[in-house]
Amino acid sequence: MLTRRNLLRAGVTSGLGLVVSSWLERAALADTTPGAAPVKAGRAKSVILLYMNGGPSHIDTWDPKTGKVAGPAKSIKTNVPGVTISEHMPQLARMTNKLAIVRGMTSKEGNHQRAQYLLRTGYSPNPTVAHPSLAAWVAKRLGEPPTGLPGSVSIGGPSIGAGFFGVQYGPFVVQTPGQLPQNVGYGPGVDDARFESRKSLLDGLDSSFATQTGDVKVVGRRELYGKADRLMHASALKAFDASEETEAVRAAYGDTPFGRGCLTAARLVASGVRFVEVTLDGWDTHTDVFDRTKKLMGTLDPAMSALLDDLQRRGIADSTLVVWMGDFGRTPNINGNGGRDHFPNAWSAVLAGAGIRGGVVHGETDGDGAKVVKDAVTVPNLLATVATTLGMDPADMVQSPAGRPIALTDGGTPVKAILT
Amino acid sequence: MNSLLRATDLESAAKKAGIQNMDALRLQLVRQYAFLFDTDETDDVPDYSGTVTQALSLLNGQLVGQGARAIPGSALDDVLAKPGDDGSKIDALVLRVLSRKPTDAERTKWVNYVQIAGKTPRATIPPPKRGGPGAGPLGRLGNRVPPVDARRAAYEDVMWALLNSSEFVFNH
Repeated sequence: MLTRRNLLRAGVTSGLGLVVSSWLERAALADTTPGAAPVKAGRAKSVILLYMNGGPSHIDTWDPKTGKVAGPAKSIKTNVPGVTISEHMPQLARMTNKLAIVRGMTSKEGNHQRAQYLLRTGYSPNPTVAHPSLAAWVAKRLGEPPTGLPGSVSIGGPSIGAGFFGVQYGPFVVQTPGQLPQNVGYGPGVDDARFESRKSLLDGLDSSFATQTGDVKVVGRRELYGKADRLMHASALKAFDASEETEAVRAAYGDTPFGRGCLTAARLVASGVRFVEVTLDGWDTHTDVFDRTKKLMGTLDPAMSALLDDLQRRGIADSTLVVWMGDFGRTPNINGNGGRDHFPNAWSAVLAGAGIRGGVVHGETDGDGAKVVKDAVTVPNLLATVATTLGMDPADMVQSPAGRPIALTDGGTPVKAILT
Repeated sequence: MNSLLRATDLESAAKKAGIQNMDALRLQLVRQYAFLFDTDETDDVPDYSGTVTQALSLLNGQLVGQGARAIPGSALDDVLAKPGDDGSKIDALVLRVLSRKPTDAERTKWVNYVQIAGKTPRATIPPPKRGGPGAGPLGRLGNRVPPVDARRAAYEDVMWALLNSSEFVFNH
């Protein structure tokens, strides 16, 4: 499990030189086109992040290759001329005209925890500062919806917290997608009146403790309790309960936790939630990569394509950005166990929906999928692109508790070629 | 979680209520709470990362819900059984949970609460359904307890607030 403690540990054991490498990366890759037209931004109201935990193989999904690095799966044509993807994503192949496939992703983090931190925050871990995730920035800057639901929800994984923004901006974690969260109803023996009198007793205790200690953690915890209370009484609480949907809708997403998670994400976004992350775990395929990746795509393909259709049906496709990404790519080389190992050098991410130009392939890897040879995109640039579609400034700045200025992304600039 | 068990004496209450399978009780607690508190119980250094899920569990979940009840054998029952006026009972309860005496203002406020709320009749609320939320050994424990009178219920409210307080969470 990804805890702050583990992250700090990971940060401490990693080398210095990170600062230098990320600066070099930025200097080399930033979009420096002078006098480029200003980006039209701010069409997205919400983001659904499909997080492929463990690091999906780019070669076996969105960037198929031939020759010795290829697996047994064939690539298939999509509805965009000249663009092929794995044969195990037939439904997504029929809606590739809605997708921007970024084949030029590159990063330096080949360790899961470090990469997962980078992908969520846009920063490599650093023991001196706990960076807020992009979801936390969205929750802080765009706020909680009037429906009483949280600003940010994470389905099927703990994701990462809000760093120095404080616990009140962290994601609400859904354990069982498609069902009402646990403990949103009163415990035995409690009704509205009793809950209210208990709350006022607690408020008295906590406000004097907050005054006495002056601790920001106490303030954060009290805000968290406020959020829990609003959630319990939220008018849109039923958005978590996917049993309201017709059998046909549920079947389209697939009878899997990830499918139910995607359906719940669509319902939550329709009720105003700003950021929903849905995790699909299992991509860390050091062994048996082809069978396992095929199985995962069997879960992904119906869920992601049903999600894109469903957002359209609900009339929120133009205001919702869907992002597909994972820790990193996997090695072109197939190891002795029929698997592929971690490969941050070159990988793929996919965006669709609000503010995104569909039917675009951005960036290119060499014949083996080993190196980005055209239009490299760093993680800060990817997150800057997401922020831009939400109308947020990627250079938005806050001060860390230590007084250091921290920007929304680590010098990221949006990838204009995939923005409408 | 261990500090919650210590503060509430839930395990001795469970023994008194004739719940034989303490392992099942513990297992249920660990299953329900280990995730919430995101701590490795084996190293006993809590990595306090608060979440709404955790807040919901403390507000409405069984551990605090039952732990705050005046079940025979529980910490609250123990305090209530001792002789003395409401002031000394409040003192004992605060000492038990927060390891300090209440301030004069706190004592006055809470004594006032249990005396006023203690005279107000309460609606009876049905126990949880079998197999539904609130079931399991913890739920059974609650179901074996006869409904408490209004005064005991008011004390339960104070106990609940103490267990939910930031002071309890951060000082343990």
